[in-house]
Amino acid sequence: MVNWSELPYDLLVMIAKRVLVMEDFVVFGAVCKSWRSTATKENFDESLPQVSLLMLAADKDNDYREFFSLSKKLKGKCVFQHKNGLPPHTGLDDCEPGYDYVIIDLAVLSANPSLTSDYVLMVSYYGHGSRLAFW
Amino acid sequence: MASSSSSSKTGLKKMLTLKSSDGDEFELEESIVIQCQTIKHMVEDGFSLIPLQNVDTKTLTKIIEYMKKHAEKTESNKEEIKNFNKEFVKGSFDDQFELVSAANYLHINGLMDLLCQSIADRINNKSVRAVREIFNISNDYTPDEEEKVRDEHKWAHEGGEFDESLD
Repeated sequence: MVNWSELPYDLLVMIAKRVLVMEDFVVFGAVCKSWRSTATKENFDESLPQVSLLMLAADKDNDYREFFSLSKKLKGKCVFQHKNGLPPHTGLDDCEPGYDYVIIDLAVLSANPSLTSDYVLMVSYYGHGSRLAFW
Repeated sequence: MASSSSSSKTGLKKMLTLKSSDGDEFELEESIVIQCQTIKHMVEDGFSLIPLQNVDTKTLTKIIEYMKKHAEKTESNKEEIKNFNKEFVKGSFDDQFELVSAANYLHINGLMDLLCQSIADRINNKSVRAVREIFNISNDYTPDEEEKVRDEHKWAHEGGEFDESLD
């Protein structure tokens, strides 16, 4: 019986580079340690268009958002907890006591959140004058 | 190469012999075999009997079948080659493993592309569990490590209706 986890590294890289859908690439990297070693950002073609995840409206009682993965034919329902990514939706209210709302001019992510959970969200918003907030 | 072009002018085709790890010998035209970069370099170094210690007879037979077909490639038979490729990757996974390892060793770029694509296609839309079963890979993560791996991309593993089938 052959052992697919023992494929030479350069061959695994060639295979990894041909897994083009983000969701499949994540699965590829979770199979075993040797496959994981090749499922790196460098081996994923970020320039290819990906079907965006559709974020569903927030449920007031929860601090997580649910996503639909359209590329999995509308079947994949995903949970994205804020501890792994999105800030709690109460964040801006907390910084601006007494304000019912803030106006967000610009939101910038330091990295593509679909590829890593290690990124910073910067928001330029207007409350009492213009402000910047980071998470 | 000067020698091969002059021999083809006179109608005499230069022949080479490939020897599998089982000791079987296959005589082939040089023009077919030089698709394989490793052998091409050996031919340039003057070898005409080429021992392939990492390739058994079964795998070598398949590789020769591939090289012969691809040596016929012209502008007009693209469709035929495409169908051939489709059939070629239908073998068992064990065979594909041997083939892709041999193609890598022999540096047959076209065949490596074909096989790696076919393997990548098998992963599409599958769950981690299904991929492990299809490729007969045992999970070498400790429960803690696996938890960490899943946590990194939680959204891609949870709640979805993955294809758990093994075809």
